[in-house]
Amino acid sequence: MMKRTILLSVLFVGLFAAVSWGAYQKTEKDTLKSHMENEYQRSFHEISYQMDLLHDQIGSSLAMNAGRNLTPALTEVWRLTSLIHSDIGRLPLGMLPFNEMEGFLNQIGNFSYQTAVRDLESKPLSKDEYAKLETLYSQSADLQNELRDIQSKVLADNVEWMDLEGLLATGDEIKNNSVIDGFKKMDNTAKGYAVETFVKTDQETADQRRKQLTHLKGDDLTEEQAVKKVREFAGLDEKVKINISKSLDGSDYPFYSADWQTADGHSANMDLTQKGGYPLFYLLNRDIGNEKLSLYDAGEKGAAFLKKHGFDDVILENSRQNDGMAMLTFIRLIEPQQVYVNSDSIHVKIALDTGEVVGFLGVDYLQNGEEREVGEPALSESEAIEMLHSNFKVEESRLAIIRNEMGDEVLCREFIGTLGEDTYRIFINGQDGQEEKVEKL
Amino acid sequence: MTKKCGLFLIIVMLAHGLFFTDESHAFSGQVVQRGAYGDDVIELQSRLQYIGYYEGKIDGDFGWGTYWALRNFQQDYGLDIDGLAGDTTRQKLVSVSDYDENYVRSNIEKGNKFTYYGGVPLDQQVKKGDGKAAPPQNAPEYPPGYSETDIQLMANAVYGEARGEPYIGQVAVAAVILNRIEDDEFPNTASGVIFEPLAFTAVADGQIWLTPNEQAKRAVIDAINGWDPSENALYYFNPDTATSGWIWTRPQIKQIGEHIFCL
Repeated sequence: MMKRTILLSVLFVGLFAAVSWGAYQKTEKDTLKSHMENEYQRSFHEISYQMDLLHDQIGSSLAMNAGRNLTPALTEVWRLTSLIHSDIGRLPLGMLPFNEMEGFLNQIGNFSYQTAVRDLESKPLSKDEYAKLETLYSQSADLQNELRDIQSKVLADNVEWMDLEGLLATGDEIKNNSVIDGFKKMDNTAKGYAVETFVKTDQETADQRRKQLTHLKGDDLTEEQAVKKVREFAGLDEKVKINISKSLDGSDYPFYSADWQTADGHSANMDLTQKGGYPLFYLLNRDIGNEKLSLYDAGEKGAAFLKKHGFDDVILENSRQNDGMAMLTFIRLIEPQQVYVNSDSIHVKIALDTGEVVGFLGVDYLQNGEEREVGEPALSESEAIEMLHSNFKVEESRLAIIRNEMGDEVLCREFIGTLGEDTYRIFINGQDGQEEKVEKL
Repeated sequence: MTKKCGLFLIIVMLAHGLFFTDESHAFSGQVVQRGAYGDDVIELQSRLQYIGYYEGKIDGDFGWGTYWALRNFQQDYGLDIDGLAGDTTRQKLVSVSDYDENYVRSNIEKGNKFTYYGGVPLDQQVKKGDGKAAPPQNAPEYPPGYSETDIQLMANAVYGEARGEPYIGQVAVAAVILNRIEDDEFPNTASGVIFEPLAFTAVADGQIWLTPNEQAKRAVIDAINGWDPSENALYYFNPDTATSGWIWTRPQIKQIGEHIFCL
């Protein structure tokens, strides 16, 4: 009798503990869930609010004439696009096509930024630019309305983002969900607007062309020829079996990918273009033994390797010793003008135990390597030095071609020197003396 | 007493200098250049500091500060001004300076703040550190523009997403993260891209918080240095498990291991 009472009370206490633990867990989970949900709701409603502001702000830029006021107004447009962009990134839209909208926002941002930073007093808005702002004004109104529609649906139906996230995460085709359909529709609208408003500039078309490597010369390689190229490049004999595969149809440029195992069992990979068989990258993954070579030796080895493979217009620009490896950066040197081109770079990785080349990266060199015309800088070295900060102590100077903030290639006078304890690299435009770029080294 | 001690030290130092200045065990005999890391650089910095050319930290990392110090030294001593510590430069430097290897090395190991100026008693040049060891001898210098935490975070994502993949596939996954950071249509930071809701399954199911191995980290560093085996991809998926129909509509670039990479 006594035993039964004890047993029963133990059971009862146990049951009580389990139930209250369960209840506690449930509340805990609900709190977390509603916390997450609130985060999503906040981001979503903020997007809508900021879209309103964006529309208004574009409107006020239109009404302004004077450069002085226009600069802050356009900067505000730029700030808002970037805020909206970041809020979109917080919503679970990863599986939903919403990238056209993000792309469009970014184009608005770039346009307003580039207009805002220029001296609008001396170079006011052109007719084209004004027209573009007008178009953006009406387009942002449409997008704002579409967003308002979605917002009212969310509020009317008490849509929870957590549920949407669950739906989207399954990845199934979702039909008849008004919110998701709304976003899809909006993305489509934005896509149309982006094409309509932002015609590709010459420079963007050129970038696109460069990216697709259409300027490379040579015939298309067969698989056998590609394998031969790989053997040559990586110094492999016939015993090593090389797997090769062709790129799929969606690539910017057709290429071959090769992989193989080295004699000591390390895996290696190389990609090369189909046209002409230019090496895009090479990578050998292995552990590095005791360092026997100096960084300097590695630099010599790297230079010899590049020369052997036909890259004879590059020069060692930078080197770093890291984890038993030397990371070498070579850049193009245009002769006889002695102009350095930072964008046309080749990276070579050397293992400091044996001096073997364990990495090569040539894609930047290939993509930027179109023929260019190199003129003479109008500014002399001493004139350019005048443009520098008076405390900046110049140590080295040379000519360089760089891409400035607008994405144009410009011939610059490059200065490396010190300001206090730190070393900086400063590029002064060789024609108009503008400070194109300042880098802390 | 301390004064005497200091004097004694100076005498020892000078004597030490006299005995060892012409010793050939100084430096390893290799040319030392900017970007190098290790014992030769520690000696180079110490010697340059000893004669007042180098005021920075003696840490074995041949950066710009060491470079300018070396060039100034070369200029003053009528050597070729190339910023390289080659044979002639090293010999000259050894003959005009001193290097107390024990003192320098032990202070680095103990993580002390210290300097090594000639003519100043050594015990006045040390500020005891917190006892924590200095950064490990071959502290990897990270590629410019990325902090150690960025790399850690990306290594976590790569490990969580692709630890079963071949090395090249891991580099490719890291490259996709970087391509997204660069792309207009994605957030602009590593954390923004990685934690974008529904972007990565490893983030959704918490596998991102597994401890990554060294290989994942190496893959991230290769990707940051520019290697992109995905050839500019912005998405990837496993064709056997992908449930989203939309992902199949993206232009496909190549397959590595289990993943198809696409634009």
